Amino acid sequence: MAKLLRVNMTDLSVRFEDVPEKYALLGGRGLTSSIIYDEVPPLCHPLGPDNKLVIAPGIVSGTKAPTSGRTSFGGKSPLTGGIKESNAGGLSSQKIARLGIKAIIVEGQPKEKGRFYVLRVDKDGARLLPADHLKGKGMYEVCDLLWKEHGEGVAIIGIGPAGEMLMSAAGICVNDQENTAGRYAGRGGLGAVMGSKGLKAIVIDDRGGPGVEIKNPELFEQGIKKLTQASLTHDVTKKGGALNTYGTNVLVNIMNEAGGYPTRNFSSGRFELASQISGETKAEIIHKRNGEGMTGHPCHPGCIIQCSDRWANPDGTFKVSVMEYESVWALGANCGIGDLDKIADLIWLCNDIGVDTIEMGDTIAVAMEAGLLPFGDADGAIRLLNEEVRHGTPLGRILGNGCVFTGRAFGVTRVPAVKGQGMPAYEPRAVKGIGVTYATSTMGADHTAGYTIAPEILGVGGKADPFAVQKADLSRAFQATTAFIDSTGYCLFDAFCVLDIPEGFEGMVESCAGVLGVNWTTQDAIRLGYEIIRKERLFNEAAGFTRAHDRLPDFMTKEPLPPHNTVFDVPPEELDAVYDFSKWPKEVVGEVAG
Amino acid sequence: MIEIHLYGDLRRYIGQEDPRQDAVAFLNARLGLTVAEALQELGVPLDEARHIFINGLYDPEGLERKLQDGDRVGVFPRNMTMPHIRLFAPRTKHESQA
Repeated sequence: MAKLLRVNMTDLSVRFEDVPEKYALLGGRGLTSSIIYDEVPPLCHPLGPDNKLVIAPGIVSGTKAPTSGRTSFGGKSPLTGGIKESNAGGLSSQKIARLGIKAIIVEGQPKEKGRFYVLRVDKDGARLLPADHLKGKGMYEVCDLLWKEHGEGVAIIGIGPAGEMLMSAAGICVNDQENTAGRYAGRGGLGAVMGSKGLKAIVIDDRGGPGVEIKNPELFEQGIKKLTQASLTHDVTKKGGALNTYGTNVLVNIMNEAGGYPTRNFSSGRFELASQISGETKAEIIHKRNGEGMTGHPCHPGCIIQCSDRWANPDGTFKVSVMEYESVWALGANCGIGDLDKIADLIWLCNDIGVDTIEMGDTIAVAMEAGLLPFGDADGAIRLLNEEVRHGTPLGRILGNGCVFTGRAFGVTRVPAVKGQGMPAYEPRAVKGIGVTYATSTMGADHTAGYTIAPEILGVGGKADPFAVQKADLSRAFQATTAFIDSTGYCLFDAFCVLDIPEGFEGMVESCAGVLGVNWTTQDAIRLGYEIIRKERLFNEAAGFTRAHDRLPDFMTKEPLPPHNTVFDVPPEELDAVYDFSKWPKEVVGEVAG
Repeated sequence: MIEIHLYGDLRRYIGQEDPRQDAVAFLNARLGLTVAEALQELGVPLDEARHIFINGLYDPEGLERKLQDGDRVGVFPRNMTMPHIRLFAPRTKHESQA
């Protein structure tokens, strides 16, 4: 029987609890958001003792289900002031699940400021160990030291100096099979929440653990067979497909051609140096250098998509993992930087210091707009990260608190953010559907909140053409489906193949139902997604969010974006319809009380 | 003049395989020339031309579109796609006829 592990940082105690029945069928984001909704006062300070950090593997994590190693991290976000779920790959999800732990809840706050601890979790239980020797250290060194102390192969969840300094751009890092620090639950400043708890790292050693109980093995096997088949045949997810060949960075040339690749702090939708930093160029350089670099790298064991990569220096030695689309864009095109080696340096620094690459890219671009350094000044950006943010200088603390904070400090009005969170790499003036998601998502501007499944499956109008339904309906359906996938432990990139292959989605749902011992239809899965985003929305409303927070920044409705020279013109009523519960599809969610 | 930008494995058809360089072919505009005809002229097999943007707008029926002077066409092979493509507004009928 799986347990909840509750870690009290006020009295430094740990205890295992039975899982309440209401959480029995939840995992990942569904579980983190439900626990936050139930236990965290919406008006609490995100860095105070009443906030909690909840860590949960997904429903199928720890089984042999393919590509299912995502760990969800939840809490009240110091960046947005609302509820947050951010998830990452790496080693932690499967190991937590195999120890029979459904979630780790970290609460309270040490009385003694400035002390840090490591939580060790293994088959014999959990204990807090002093971590004074890790204080101030970057994540690469933390990973090395913890493998030396706890054995090779253990999973590490940790924060860099940015999290210790409670910066709102701080993320939570997870190691991978090579013990590289680089898999990040980056968004929303949850690294600062972990820092506020005095928790530097969590070590998970699953040797001798009980494993994950599968209540209906036949249904589970049938499900993973269908999903695997879908994943291995789809152009995006198969071997030699888009993700495996080029990584997520395949999108550079696509978005640039579409005129929706945000450039120089969202002042253009095309970057003249896009070809220098594209997925094609990245793959070509990695192969030519022919050293320790590789494409088609799995971020966690059992991934069959393998979209990650390991970037090598010009001499072939390993530099950083991973050169993914968002990070390369944020610290590249958005800062006017068109050199992959410099971008690799910047990503390495973000991973070491423990800050979100997207937020820092947005922030450095705002600093460039403010005149602190010119666009394209890669060495200047490196200096800002390595000398200012890492050491928590006054300037570093401004930057480390994200693009909105930095924009305010320097009087910049072109700040691309929603609910305080910097925008990812899709220009909403060119891709309006994702703009609706940025505006309304419970997470703030978030690119992962809006992937799609065929409208028929979602019950949003019964038409196969995604363009035929209203944007509000489509965005809402995406958000609900994403919330479900984020709860399973499956990587969101599985959405790519289940989008076009209905049996894939059936398989995903059946594999979850097999683990849980229930009979779920795809409609049940979508209903669960709606329940999750509804709880998140209610938390945010109680935290003080109104419709005014569901808007894109003012400048995007006024400044036309080249090359299409369009503004974001989705009417406010359409944005408001996304979370108008009375407009939610009754055939899926039933009657929802407002 | 019409610009045709080729990506991924399609670059080789115009002999520009270095991804650091834009692979662009220029064609003279001719009355009624379609994207499909233009690609055939360049030797790009139509079954490999999977995703087509015209002037930065994704066009699911791109191959059939008639080109005009000054148009920019972007062509991606099958293995360069993401579902985000479904979020791009398609050309409306009005725009297509213009």
